[in-house]
Parts: sequence; structure tokens; C-alpha cells
Amino acid sequence: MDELKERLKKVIIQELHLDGVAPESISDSAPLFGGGLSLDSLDALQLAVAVEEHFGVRVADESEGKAAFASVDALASYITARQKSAGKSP
Amino acid sequence: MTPTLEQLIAHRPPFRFVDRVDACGDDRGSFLLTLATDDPRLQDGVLPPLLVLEGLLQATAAYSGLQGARQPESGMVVQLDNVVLVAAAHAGDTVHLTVSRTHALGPLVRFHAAARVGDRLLVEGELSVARSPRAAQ
Repeated sequence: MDELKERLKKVIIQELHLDGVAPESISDSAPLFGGGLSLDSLDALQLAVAVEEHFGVRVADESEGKAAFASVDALASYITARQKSAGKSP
Repeated sequence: MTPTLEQLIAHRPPFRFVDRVDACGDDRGSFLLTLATDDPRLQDGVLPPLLVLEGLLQATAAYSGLQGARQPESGMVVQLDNVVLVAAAHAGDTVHLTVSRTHALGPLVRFHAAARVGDRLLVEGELSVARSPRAAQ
């Protein structure tokens, strides 16, 4: 799970163009939206695209996205659960 | 009743770059732009890639409008990503403008759009649209 979280942070920084943000500065439990990263709804759509491209997991709708994008912890759990239910490993 | 292009796209000739609906499915729409030799939209016999991109934006609006026909909606393009302007269209070309819905999250929808003449790619990119419902007219 820790490896997945580290990979997630790198994907978030790369895909959302968070230049100058270091992976270690993103807390596992801190809110991704409405927090220090200053992400907006367009970033949420971009993150949904990135999660599908990098992890093969499609965020079904807005309510699922809200829960999944709550934090790196939440997103890692969401990806792991969806991959397990689809029979994939991270 | 299926809305007309005049109802789906705010632009009027010669600033409209979609001439006909070719096909419209659940996740993909195809539109045509036909350029006659005396077409007033041509500049020195060509339609520059940036205006082909405008055609894709208008095709996206038309597709969104057709998809929302049961509950009309309006929208605004809020982001372009990975846009490549490869080539201009020429007099005599029929440009196929295809729009595919790839992702949606709340009011935001991401489309992949491509303009081709035959197999020749002119313009391609990802368009993000913010939708907002509007009253039926």
C-alpha cells in the first residue's frame, strides 16, 4: 500500500502539473481538494483520467469521485478495492 | 424532434465550421465540414488548423446538444489538452469531425476530438466541457 501511495503522489504531481511540489510534502491523510494543493474541479476530472490511465480504474461518478479523492489514503484504498474486485493487482 | 445545427451551435455562417451531422451515438458523434472551392471560410484556398480546431469545438457543442436533447443543456469549453495542429484543410476537402466522450465527473465532461480528411489527421485533442442544464426552448 505504501508503494501505491508513493506512486499516486507522483502521478498527482505529474498529471496535475504541480511543479515544485515534492511527493513527500503531500500527506497521506490530508484533503486533496480544499487543502494546500489548491486543486479545483478540473483537476478532479484530470485526476479521474489519470487514475484510469495509470491504474486501470474508472471512477464511476461524482459521488464515488468525492469519496475516492478525499485523500491519498482514500484514493489508494479505492484503487486497491476496485482492482481486487476486478481481479487485478496494483 | 431532433434539433437543427442552428439550434445546437450559436455561430452563424461564415463562422460556423460544422455543416452536417453524419452520425450520433451514445458515446461518439461524427460531423462533416465540406469546403467548396469558393467557400468564404477559406483563406488563400486553405482552412488553417486553428479554424479546424474551432470546427471541433463546435462539433463538441453540437454533440453535447444532441446528447442532451431530452433535457437540453448548455456548456462551456473550459480546458484543452494535448492539442496537435497537424495540417490545414483544402478547397474540395470534406473534413470529418469526430467527438468521443471519454470521461465525466459531475458537470465536467472530457471529449477526445479529431478532424480528418480520409486517413489524414488535421487536428486532434482533448476538450473539457462544463455542462449546465438550461430550460427547454
